[in-house]
Amino acid sequence: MLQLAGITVSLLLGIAADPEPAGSSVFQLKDGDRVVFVGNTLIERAAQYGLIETLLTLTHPDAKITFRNLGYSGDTVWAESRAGFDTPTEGFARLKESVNAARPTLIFVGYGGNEAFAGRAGLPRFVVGIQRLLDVLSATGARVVLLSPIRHEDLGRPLPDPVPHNRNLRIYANTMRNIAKQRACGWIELDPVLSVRAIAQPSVPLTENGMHLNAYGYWRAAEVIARSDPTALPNWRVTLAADGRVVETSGTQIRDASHAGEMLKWIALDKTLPSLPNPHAALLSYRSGPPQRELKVTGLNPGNYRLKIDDQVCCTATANQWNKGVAITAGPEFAATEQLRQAILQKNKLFFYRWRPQNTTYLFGFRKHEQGNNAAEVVQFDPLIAQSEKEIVGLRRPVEHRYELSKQSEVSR
Amino acid sequence: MNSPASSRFRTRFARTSPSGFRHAATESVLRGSRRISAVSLAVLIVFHVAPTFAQRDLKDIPKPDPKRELSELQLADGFEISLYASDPAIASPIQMNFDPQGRLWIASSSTYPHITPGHKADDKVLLLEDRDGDGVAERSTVFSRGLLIPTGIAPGDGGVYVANSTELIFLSDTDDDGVADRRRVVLSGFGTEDTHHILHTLRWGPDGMLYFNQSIYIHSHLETPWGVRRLNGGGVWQFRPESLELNVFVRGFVNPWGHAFDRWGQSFETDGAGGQGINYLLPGASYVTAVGATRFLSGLNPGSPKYCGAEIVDGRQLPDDWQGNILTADFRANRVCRFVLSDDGAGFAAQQMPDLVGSSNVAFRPVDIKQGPDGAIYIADWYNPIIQHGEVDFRDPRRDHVHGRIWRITRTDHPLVERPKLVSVSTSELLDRLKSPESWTRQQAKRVLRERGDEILPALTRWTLALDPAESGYEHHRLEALWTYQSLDIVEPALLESLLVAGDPRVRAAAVRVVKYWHPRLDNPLELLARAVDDDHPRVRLEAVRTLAVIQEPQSMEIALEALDRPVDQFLDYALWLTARELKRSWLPALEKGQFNLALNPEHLEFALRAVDSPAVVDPLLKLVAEGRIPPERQEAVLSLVASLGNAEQLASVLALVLDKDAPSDVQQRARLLNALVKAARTRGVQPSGDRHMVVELLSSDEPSLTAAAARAIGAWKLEDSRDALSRMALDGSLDLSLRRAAIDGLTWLGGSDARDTLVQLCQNDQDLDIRKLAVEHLTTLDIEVAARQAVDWLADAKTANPTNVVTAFLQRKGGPEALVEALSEKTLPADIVKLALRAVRSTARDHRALEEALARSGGLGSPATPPTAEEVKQLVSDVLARGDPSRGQQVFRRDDLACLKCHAIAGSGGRVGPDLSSIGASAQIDYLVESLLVPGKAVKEGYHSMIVETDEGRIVTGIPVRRDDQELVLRDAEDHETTIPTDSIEEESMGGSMMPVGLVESLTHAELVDLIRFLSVLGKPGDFAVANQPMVRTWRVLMASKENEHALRHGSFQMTATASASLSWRPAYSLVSGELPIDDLPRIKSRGDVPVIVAVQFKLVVSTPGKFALGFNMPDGLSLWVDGEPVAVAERVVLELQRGRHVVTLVVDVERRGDVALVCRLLAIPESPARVQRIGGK
Repeated sequence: MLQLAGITVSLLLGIAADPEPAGSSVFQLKDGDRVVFVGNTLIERAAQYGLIETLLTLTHPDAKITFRNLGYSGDTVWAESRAGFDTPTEGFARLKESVNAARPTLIFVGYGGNEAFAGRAGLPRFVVGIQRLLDVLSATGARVVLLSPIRHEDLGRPLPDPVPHNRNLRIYANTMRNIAKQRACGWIELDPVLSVRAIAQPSVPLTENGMHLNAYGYWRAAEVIARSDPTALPNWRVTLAADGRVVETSGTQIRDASHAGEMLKWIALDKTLPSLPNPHAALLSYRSGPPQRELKVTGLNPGNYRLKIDDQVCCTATANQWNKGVAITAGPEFAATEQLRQAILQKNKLFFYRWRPQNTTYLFGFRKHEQGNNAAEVVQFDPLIAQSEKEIVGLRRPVEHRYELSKQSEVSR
Repeated sequence: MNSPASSRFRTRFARTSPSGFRHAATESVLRGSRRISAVSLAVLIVFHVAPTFAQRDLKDIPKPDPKRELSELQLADGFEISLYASDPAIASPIQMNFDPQGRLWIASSSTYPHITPGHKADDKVLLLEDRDGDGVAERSTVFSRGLLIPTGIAPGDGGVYVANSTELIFLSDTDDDGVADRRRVVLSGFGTEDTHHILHTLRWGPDGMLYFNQSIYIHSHLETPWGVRRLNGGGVWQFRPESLELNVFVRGFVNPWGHAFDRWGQSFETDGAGGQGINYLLPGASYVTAVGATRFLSGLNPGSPKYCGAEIVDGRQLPDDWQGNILTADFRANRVCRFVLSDDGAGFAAQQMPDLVGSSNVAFRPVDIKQGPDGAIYIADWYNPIIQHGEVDFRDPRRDHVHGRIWRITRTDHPLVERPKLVSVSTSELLDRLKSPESWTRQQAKRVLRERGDEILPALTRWTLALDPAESGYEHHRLEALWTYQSLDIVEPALLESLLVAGDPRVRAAAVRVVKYWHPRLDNPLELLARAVDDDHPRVRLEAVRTLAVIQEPQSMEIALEALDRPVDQFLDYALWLTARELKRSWLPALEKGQFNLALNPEHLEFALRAVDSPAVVDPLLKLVAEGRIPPERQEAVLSLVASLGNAEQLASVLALVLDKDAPSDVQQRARLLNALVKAARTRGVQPSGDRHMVVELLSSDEPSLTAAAARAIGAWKLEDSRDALSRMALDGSLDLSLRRAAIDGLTWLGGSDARDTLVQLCQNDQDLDIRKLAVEHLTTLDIEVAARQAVDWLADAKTANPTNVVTAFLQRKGGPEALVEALSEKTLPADIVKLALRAVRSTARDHRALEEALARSGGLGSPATPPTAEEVKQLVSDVLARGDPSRGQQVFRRDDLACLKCHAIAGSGGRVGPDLSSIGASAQIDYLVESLLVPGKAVKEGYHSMIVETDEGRIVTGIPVRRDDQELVLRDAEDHETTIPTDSIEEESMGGSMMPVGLVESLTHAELVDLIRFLSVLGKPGDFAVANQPMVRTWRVLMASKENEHALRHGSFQMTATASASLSWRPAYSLVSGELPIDDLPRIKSRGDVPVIVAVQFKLVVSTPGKFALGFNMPDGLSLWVDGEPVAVAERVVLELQRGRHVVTLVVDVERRGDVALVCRLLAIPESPARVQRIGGK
C-alpha cells in the first residue's frame, strides 16, 4: 500500500509540474463524426454544463460533428443504473442498444469512479466488466477513448476524507490505462485537472462535493480533452502596426485594415470562436499559460487606446501595453460562444427528454397498454433535436467582426 | 346562524375584517344525495333538450371559481376556512413548506403529467408571503422557473431544496433580488418511471436531516462521496446535506406522499396508493411492496382509503384533544381526515376522528397539509377534476393545469398564535423558542440555529445548563437541545446520557436514536444500549434494538436479544428480527467459529437463528433440539426451519424424528414435519440422506394427516417400490378424499405411464365427480392431450361443480389451452359450466382467444363481446347520469354471480386481488368506470398488474406479485390464493395486464349495468355512499343453510355456532357501504320446529394492546352474543376486555324477534383505556 501511495504521489507531482501536457494524438475529430459520451454522473452532468461539447464543437467549425450524451448517474461498467425494472443484464443490453442507436463514430467512456469504492477486491470483476463494455462499444466500429476517473477532491469535513477512495481510484485508473493501451483505445488522464488545484492559490474547488465537477472543473476538463486532439484550437495572435500594416496573424484573417489619425480599423474573420473564459480567472493567481487571444499594436503614440468590436467596448490599454500585447477576454466573439453553448444545452435537454423520457412505465413499460399511445410524442423530439442541431451548425461558424482601436481624448476620459 | 342539519359540518364564508379576525357569515349548506339527484335531473333535461351539447355536460367539471369552491367546503364544528392564495398567482401546487420567516414555498407544476414536445418545461418554485398577517398571501414571487415537474420543496441552508425529476437541486438567491440566481445539483439519478412517483415529500427532521420519498416504480442510483446509493422501489431517504450522507430510512409503500414527525421525533407516513391509513415508521422497516423483503410491517389502519400529505398538529390555536393528532388528505374523496395517535406497545395506534374538511366539488384535491406560523392549518389544493395519469390519458382535455389554491383553516373565535420572529432575533432568544408549545416554532428555530452554525455552541451550552428541572417540559427542552447538537453534528455525551435515563420514555426513546448517529464517537455505546434494551418502556427497547443493528459486532446481537426477556409485541418482534438479519455478517461467522455466546439463553439463540435465512443456522438449531433445549411448543417451528434450509444430512435428522414413534412431538406435528420435508424435496430438490423407505410404514398410521404426508413423501422421494401401494390408495373408494388426494399427488410425482393409467381410471364416469376432477387436474402434468379429453368429459358431467381449478390446470401448462381447444371440438357442454370456465380463462391476464371461442361454441354462447365504441361509452355515461340508481347498483355489486367482492374490498372488507374501491367514485370520472368494467385491461392500478411466470417444469402461473426475494416469488391469483414459486425455477417472466375477467358484466341487463356504474360513481363521495370514519365490523362470515349445519344444530344448541364453529360450514358476507349487514339477504337456519329461525354470523377482532373497549350494536333485540365461545349479555354497548391476539365474536339473530333490521356493530373506544383493537377485514 505504502509503495502504491508513493507511486501515486510521484505521478501527481510529475503531472503537476506540467499541468497541460502537449497535444498527443489520442483522438482526432473529423467531418461527419457522431460523438457519443457514455458513463456515470461525470458524463451525465457534463451535458448540463455543455463545456466539453462546446469546446469540441467550436474547434472544428467546418466539420459536421454531432454529440449524444448517454451518461447516467450512478452508473457502472455493468450498466447498473440502466436496469430500471429489469435485471442488470437487461440494463447492459439497454446501454448497448442506446449506444448503437446513436450510431457513434467516436465514443468517450467515463467510468471507474463508482466501481473504485469496491477497492482492490473489486478489481478483477471490474476488469471483466470494462472489457465486456469495451467489446460492445468497439463493435460499433467507433473509435473509443477512455477518460480516467477524476480524483476525489478533499473539501474538508464533514465530507469524507478522500484518501482511501483516491488510493483506489489510482489503482482503477492505472488498470484502465493499461486496458486502453492493450486495446489501442484512446486514454485521457483527467487527474491533472485536479492536480492543478494543488498549486493554485487561493485554492479554487473543482468539484461541488469532492467527486462531481463544478463549472470550473468541467472547464478544465474540457481543456484537457480538447487538447488531446492535435487539430484543436489554434491560438489567436494578431500584430498590427499603427499605420494599419498587418504584421502577423494566426487564428484569424484580417482585411481592410486602415488608419485615420489616432484610429485604427480592420475587419477580422476568425478561424474559430474563442473558447469560453475561465469561470474563475479572477480567483486564480497563477497564469494558466499564454492567453488564448492576444492583440499587439506597435508604434502607437503614447496615450490610452480603446478597443471596440462591432461598436462594443472590449478593453482599454496604454500604447505601451498594446505594444507588448493585450489579452482579449470579452466581446462579441465570446458572446457568440456562449450563445453556441446555450444552443447545445437546449439540444441536450431535448435529447434527454428523448432518450430518458419520464413515465416510461406507461409509454414503453408494462403499463403501455394504458398510455402507450402517447409514446408517439417521444419521437416528436427528433425533429426538434435536428432543428436545434441546425442552429448549432450556424452558431459555431465565426462571422466577420469590425475592430476599431482609437485613442481616447482627455475629455472622453 | 346554522341550520340544524349542519351540526357536524358547515360551510363558512370567512371574511377578513380590518381587525384581522374572521367573521363567519352567510349560509350553511348540507350536501348529500339529494343534491346528486338534482344534478342528475338537470343533466337529464339538458340531454333531451340539447343533445349536441350533452358531451360537455357529461363531464364532471365544476366552474373553477374559488368562491364556488369555498361554498362547497364543509368544515368540522368550530373551524372556519378562507382563501390564502389562489390562481392565477399559483397553479397546481404539489408540495409546500414554510421557512422560518413564515413565508410559504410552493412546488408547482403545470407540465405534469408529461412534457409536450415543443413546449418548454417551465414549472415554478413560488414564494407566498402574508406580510401583514391578515391570513391572505398578498405577495407571490416566482422564485425559480424552467423546472421539470418539481414535486417537493424544502427551504433551508440559505436557499431551497427542490425535487426536480431526476435531481435534487438547491436554488439560492445570492443578490437578494428575490429570485434564484444559483442552481446546484445536490443529488442526481432519481428515477422518473412515473411522474407521480418521482422524488417527493421533502421534510426536515428534528435531527437536522432532510428526508424525502420515492414511490413504487422508481429506481434511483445516486452517487455520493461515500459511495453509490441505490433504491429500487418505494421508500424514504434520509440525508445530511452538509456531509452528503444518504441512507434509506425505510423502504416499501406504493406512493407515500405524507411524512410527519411527532413531538418526540417518531415519524409517520401516509400512502397515496396504499390502503393501511397511517403508518408508523420503524427505522429500517420494510412496508408493503418493498423489493426483496420477506417480512413487512403493516399500517395502523388496514382498509383505509389512500391518503396524501401528513401533518402532526399542535399548539395553542387547536383544541386540547387535537394536540399531536395527524391530519392527512383523502384527496380522492375530496376531504381532509384526522387521526388520534396513541401508544400501542412499542408502536402506535391511530384512531380516525370526524373529518376536518370535505367537499362535494370533485376538483377539490387536498394534497398537502401544513400548520403555519400562526397555528392555522394550510391546505394545498391541487385543484383538478382528474387525478392520476396511468388510468386517464396524459392529454385528457379535462386535466387542469392552471388552477390551484391554498386554503387556511382557523378555529372560530379563538386567537391565533402570534407569528414568532426567528431570523432577526438573538441566539439566546432563538433558544428560548425551543420551549414553544408549537412544533412549528421549535422546528423552525432549530433550522435557524443550525444555519447559524458552530457560533451558537457557547449559548446552547449555557442555555441547556440553565434549564430549570422544576420547569414543566424540562426534559423535552433538553431533548430539543440534544437535537440541536445533533443537527450541528456536535457530540455531547453528557447530555445524551442524562436523557437516556430521563423520566419520560419518549425522551429516552429519542435519545437512543441519537446513539445510532453518534456511536463511533461515544466511549461506551454498547453499554448505553444494553441499559436501553432493558428499559421499562417497549419503545425504548425497540429503538435500542434497532440502534444495535448499526454496530456490527457479535456482542450487539447478544445485547439486542436481551429484549426477549421482557414482553415482546409485534413491533418489537419485527425490530429484533430486522436487527438479527442486519447483524448476521457479524454474529453468524462468530457462531460458526464458536465465538458467539452459545451459552446464551436458548430462546435467544433460537430467535436469532430463525431470523436469518441461512443454512448456517441449521446445525446450531439441531444441536439445541438434540440437547433438549427447545421447549416442545416451539420445536415444530424450529424443525420446519431446518427442513426448509437444511442439507440432506440435516433433513435426515428431521426424518428421524418423524419416524420416531416415541418422539415427544405429537403425531400431527410429525405429519407437518414430514410435509416440510416433502416441500424441501419438491422446491429445493433436497432429500434426507440415508434410508428413506421407513416412511412407507407410516402409510398405515392411524393419523390421516401422517398417512397423507407419507403418501406424498413416497412420490416426492421417488420410492418406486411403493407405487402400487399409492395406486391402491388412490383407487380405494372407501378412503377419505384427503387421503386419496395425497395418494394422487404422490403418484403424479412418481410419474410414468402407470401413474397416467391410474389417473385415467379415476377419470371414468363411474367415479365420484370430485375424484374425477382431481385426477383430471393431475393428469395435466403427465399427459396434456389425455387430460384434455378427460377434462371435457368431466365438464359435460360436472353439473354444479366449479370448473375453475380444472381450467386453470390447463392454463398453467404449456400447450394446455391448445389441447383443450382440440378436445372441445364437436363437443357440447352445459352453458353454465362454460360461463364459469370462461371466467377462469379471462382472469389470467393472458390472451386465450382460441380457447375462449372453443368454449363459447361448445356452450352455445355468442362470441365474446367487442370493446365498446367511444359512442357507446358516451351513451352509457349519459344513461348512468340520467337513470342510474346507486342503491340498486349496490345490490348488483353484491350479487354472487358477479363476485365483485371476491376481488375488491370496500373499506378493507372483501378480496385483495383488485384495488379497494372505497373512494373510487370520488376519484374516477364515469367514463373511466365504464371502460374499467367493459375493458378491464385498459387501465390497471399500480400494484395490481399481474405477472406471468413460466417455470422450468413447464408450468405457467399468473398472479399479482405479493413479494419476492432471492429465494422465492409469491403470486396471488384471481382466487386470492397465493402460489410460491422458487426463484431458481423461473425460466421466463413477463408483466401481464388486469386479472379482472373480460366480459364479467356481460350477464347484466343494461339497467343493471347503469345502476352498478352509478353506485361506483358515488362510492366514497360525500353522501349515503361515503365510508364512515368510525371503525365498524364489515367482514363477516355467515352460517350456511346446509343440511349438515341444520343437522348439527338440531342436536346441539345455538351455542354450537360459537363453540364448534370449525365443524360447521360458513361463507363470507360483507356489510353495505353504510356498515349495515342486511339480515334478510342471509341464509336462515331452521333447525327444529320448536326453535326460532336464526341467522348466525361471526367476525374477528385483533387486540394489540389489552384493555377495555366496547362493541356498539344498532339494536340489541333478538341478538345472542358469544366471544371466543363464551356467552356475553347483549346490550347496545357491550364492554369487553380481551387478551392480546385474535378473537372470534359470534352473533345469533332471532329473525322473528328482530325483524329485518340490519345489523351494525361498531368498535368503540373507552376513554383512558389503553386498549388497541382492530377488526379483521379482507375476505
